[in-house]
Amino acid sequence: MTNTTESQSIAIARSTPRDRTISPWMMIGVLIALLMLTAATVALTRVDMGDTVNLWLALGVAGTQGLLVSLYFMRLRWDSPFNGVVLVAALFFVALFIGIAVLDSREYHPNLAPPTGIAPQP
Amino acid sequence: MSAVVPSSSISPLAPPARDNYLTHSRGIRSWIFTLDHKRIGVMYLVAILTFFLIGSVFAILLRSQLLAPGPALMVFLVIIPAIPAVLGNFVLPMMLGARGVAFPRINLLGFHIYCAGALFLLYVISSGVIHTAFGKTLPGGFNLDAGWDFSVPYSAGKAAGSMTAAAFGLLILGFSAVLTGVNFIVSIHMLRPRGMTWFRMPLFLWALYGTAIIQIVANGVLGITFLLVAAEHFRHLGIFDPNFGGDPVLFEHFFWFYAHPAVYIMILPAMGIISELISTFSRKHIFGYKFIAYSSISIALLGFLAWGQHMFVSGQSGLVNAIFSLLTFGVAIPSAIQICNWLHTLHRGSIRLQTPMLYALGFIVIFTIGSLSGLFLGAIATGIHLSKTSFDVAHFHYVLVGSTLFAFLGGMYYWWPKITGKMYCEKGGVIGAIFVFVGFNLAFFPLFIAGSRGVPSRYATHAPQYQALGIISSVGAYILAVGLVIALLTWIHSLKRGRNAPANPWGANSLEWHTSSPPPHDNGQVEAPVGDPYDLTAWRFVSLEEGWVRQENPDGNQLADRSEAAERQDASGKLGMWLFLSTILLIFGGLFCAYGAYRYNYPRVFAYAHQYMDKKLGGITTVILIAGSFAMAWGARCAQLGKRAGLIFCLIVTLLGGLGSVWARTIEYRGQKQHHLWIGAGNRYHKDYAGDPAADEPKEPAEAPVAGDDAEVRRQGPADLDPLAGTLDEPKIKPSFNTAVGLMPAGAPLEPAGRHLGYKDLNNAERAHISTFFSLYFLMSGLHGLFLLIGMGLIIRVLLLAVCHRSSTAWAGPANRAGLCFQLVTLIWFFIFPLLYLIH
Repeated sequence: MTNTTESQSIAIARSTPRDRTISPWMMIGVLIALLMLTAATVALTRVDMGDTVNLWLALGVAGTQGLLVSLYFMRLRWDSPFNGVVLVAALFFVALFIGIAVLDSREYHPNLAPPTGIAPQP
Repeated sequence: MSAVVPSSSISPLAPPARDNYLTHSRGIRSWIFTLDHKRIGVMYLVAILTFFLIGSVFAILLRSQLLAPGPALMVFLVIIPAIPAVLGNFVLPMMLGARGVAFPRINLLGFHIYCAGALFLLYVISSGVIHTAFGKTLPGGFNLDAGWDFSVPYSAGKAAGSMTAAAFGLLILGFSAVLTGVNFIVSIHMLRPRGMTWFRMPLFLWALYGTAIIQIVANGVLGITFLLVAAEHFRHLGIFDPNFGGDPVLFEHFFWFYAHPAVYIMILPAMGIISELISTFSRKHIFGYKFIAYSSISIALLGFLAWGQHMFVSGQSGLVNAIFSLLTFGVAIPSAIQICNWLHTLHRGSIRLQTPMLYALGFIVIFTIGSLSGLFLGAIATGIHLSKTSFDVAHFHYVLVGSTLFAFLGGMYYWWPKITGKMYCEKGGVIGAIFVFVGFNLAFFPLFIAGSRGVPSRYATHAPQYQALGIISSVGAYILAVGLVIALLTWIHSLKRGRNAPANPWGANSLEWHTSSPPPHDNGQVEAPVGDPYDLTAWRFVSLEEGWVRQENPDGNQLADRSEAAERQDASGKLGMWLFLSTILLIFGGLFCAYGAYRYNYPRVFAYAHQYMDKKLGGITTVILIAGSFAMAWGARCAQLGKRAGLIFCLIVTLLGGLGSVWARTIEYRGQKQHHLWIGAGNRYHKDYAGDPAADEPKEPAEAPVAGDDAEVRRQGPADLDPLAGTLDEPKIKPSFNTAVGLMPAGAPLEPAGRHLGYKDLNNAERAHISTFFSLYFLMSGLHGLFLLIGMGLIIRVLLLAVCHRSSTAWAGPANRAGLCFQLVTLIWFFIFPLLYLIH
C-alpha cells in the first residue's frame, strides 16, 4: 500500500510530535505508580470511612490508574486529540447510562414484587 | 487492518468509461470477495431489497390479519441498514474523492457478517411464522412469539430459546453495523482531500458521520443486552427475569438505550439525503449549511439522552419520566432546524419536480407529521394515555418507516444513474411516487385517529366501531405495495431498456458527479476541483445525452496530493482501533450498569457475597496485568524505534502475562465450581439450585477432623454468621472471610463474630439476590477474560509478523494497535478488581 521505507518510517517516528517515543524512566515511573496505587486500593479497604466514601475512593484510584495507562502506555498524551475525544465520549456515555439507570432503579425498586422464592439455606 | 489511502481523484466531465466497476472483472467470486466499495454497496442493495420484499409480504399478510410475525425483520434487516449500507457505501468514498473506504477488507467482512446474521434471523422468524400459521416446527424448534423489542419477561418465557436465537442474530447484525460505522468515521477523518474542510463536506457525509457515532456507541450496549438475555435464559441469572429476582425495568433501560438512538440510525442518513435532493432540485445553495451540519451531530448525541421516553408506563419512576420528557422535547429542536432550512432552500428556488424531488417533498410532509406526533408521546400527560396504542404505531411508522422509505427511494432514484449507468423512466418514477405517498398516508394516518380513541397496538382485530379505519388502513397498505412494485418495475425497466446516463444528469456539484456513470473501478483518475458542494452555478445543462457540464472554475482546489499517505495510513489504523475500543467500553458499560443497579439497591448482598472472592488471586491478576501492560508499552516503543529483537522479547513477556492472568482465572473458577458457587442454578444460593454440595466435595485426608455433615448444615441453616462454618469448605473458599481486607492468606484466624455480615443478617429479598452477585462476577470476569484472549490473539499475530519480517513497516503499526487492545483490558480490570473483590 505504501512505499515508505523502513528508515523513513523510523525517521518519522522520531521527528513528529505525535509519534514521540516515551523515555524509559517515564515508563518505569508509571509502572511503579500503578503498583503503588494497587497497594493503595487494597489498603483503603482496611480503613472504614463508610460505604460510599470507600467506594468512591476505590473508583477514584482505579480512575487514576486508568488515566496513567491511557496517557502513557496507550500514548494518548502524544496521540491525535481526536482519539482522546473518542475515549472520553465513550466514558461519558457509559457514565450517563449507568447514572440514569441506577438513579431510576432506586426510585421504583420499593414497588417491585418480591421474588417468588429464595434459595434453601446453604 | 490495512488501510486504503485516497490515491485517486475523479474526473470532471469524464466520458462514459468502457471499463467501469461493473465490467472491471467478471464471475461470482469477483463480486463475493470484492474490496470495491461500489460493488459491496450493490450487494447490500440486492440483499436488503430481497429482505424488504420478504418483510413486505409479511406486512401485507399481517395487514390481512393472517399472521403476526412481528416487524423485527423489517426493522433490523431493512430499515436500519438500508441507507448507510447501500447508499453510504456506494457514495461516501466518491463524495470524498477517494478510491475506497479506509478499511476495504473490514467493509467486505461487514457485508458477509450482515448476510450471515440476516439469514439466521430470517430463519428464526420464518420458523415462528410457520409454527404460528401451520403448526409445524422447523429444525431447531424456533417459535418466536414476542415483539421486536424483546421485552423481559416475555423474552425469557416459553419462547425464550427462540428469543435467544433471534437475539444472537441481532448481535451478529450489530457487529456488522459497528464495522460499517468504524469505516465511515475513519474514512471521513482520513480520506478527505486537501481543500475539503469539515464545512465543505456534503451534508450527506455529516449525516453518515452522526449515524456512525450512534452505531458504535449503541451497538455495544445492544451486544451486552442480548448476551444477558441469552445468559438469563440458559443460566437463570436473575439480572432481568423477575422470577429469579431480576429487574425487568432494567432490561427496558438496556434495550432502549440502544433502540432509541437506533431510531436516529434510520432517520439521520435519510435527512442527509434530503439535504442533497432539496438543494439539487431547487437549483439553489442549501440554506443554513452549518446549522444542518451541527444539528446532524446534535441529533446523534441528544438521541442518547431520550431513551426513557419509551418507558413512561414501564414502572419507571416519576422523576425520570419528567427528565426524559424534557429531553425528548430537546431532541425535537435540531430536527425542526433541518425542516426549516429545507423549506427555506425551496423558497424561490427553481424547483424541478422529478422523481427524487417528489420523494424529498413527500419526506418533508411525512417527517413533519411524524415529528409533531412525537411531541404528544413525549409529553407525559398525553404520552401515558397514548402509549402502546395505534397512535404509537402510526408515529413510529411516520418517523421511521415512512421517512426512511421516502428518503431511501429518493436517494435510489437520485444515484441510480450513477450506480447503474442507466436512466430510469421518469413517468414511471413519478407515478410510483404518487402511489407510495397516497398509499402510505392512507395506511397509517387512520391509526392516529384510532389510537387517540384508545385502540391498542398489536391487536389482530378492531372493535366494530373502528372497523372502517381498519379497512382504510388495509386499502392504503395495498396501494403502497402497488407503488413499491411500480418503483421496482422502473428499475428493472431501466436496467433493460434505459438510455445511458450522463456523468451528471442532475447538475449537482458533489464529487461523485464529476466522474462517469457508472464510475470506473478506481472512481476515476483525473483530478477534480474541491469546492463548495452546493455551489451549482458552474453547471450548465447541455442535452439529455450529455447532461450537465461544468464550466471552468479557477477557484476550485484540486484534490490532495498523496504525499502524506504513510502517516495517514497509520493514523487511520489507530483511529479505527480506538473506535473499536470505545465499543468494548460500552459493552462493559452495560455490565457495570447492572452491577451499579444491584449494588445500589442491595448493598448488603454485595458486602456479604464478596467475601467468597479470592482476594489473593484478584491481587495477583492485577499485578500480572500491570506487568503485561508495561511490557506491551515497552514493546510498542521498540517497534517505534525499529528494534525488532526488543519487540519480540516484550511481546513474549506480554503473552506470558496474559497467560498468567488466564491461569489465575482458571484456578478461581475451578474453586467456585467445586464449592457450588457457579453461575445461575449451579450456585448454592440460587432458588433452583438442586445439587448436593456433599456429592463432590474435595477429598480430605483420613486423619483430618470431620467438621460435620454438610447436608445437615444445609437443613439447619448457617452456623453462627458463616454460611459454610463447620463444612469442609470453610478453610478453602474464604481466604479473607471474616475480614474486609484483601490479600489475606487462606486459613487465617477468624475475627470475632459480629465484625462481618453473615447470612443470618440478610432478609429474604436480599438472600434471593446473592446468586445475582455471582452472575455478575462471572459475566464481568468472563467477558474480561474473553477480551484478554482476543488481545493475546492480536499480539500473537504481531509476534509472527515480527518473526517473519525484518522490515519494521510490516510490524510497527500493528504492534501499536495490538498493544492498545491489551492496555484496555488492563484498564477495565482496574475497576473490576475493587468492585468485585474489595468491597468494604
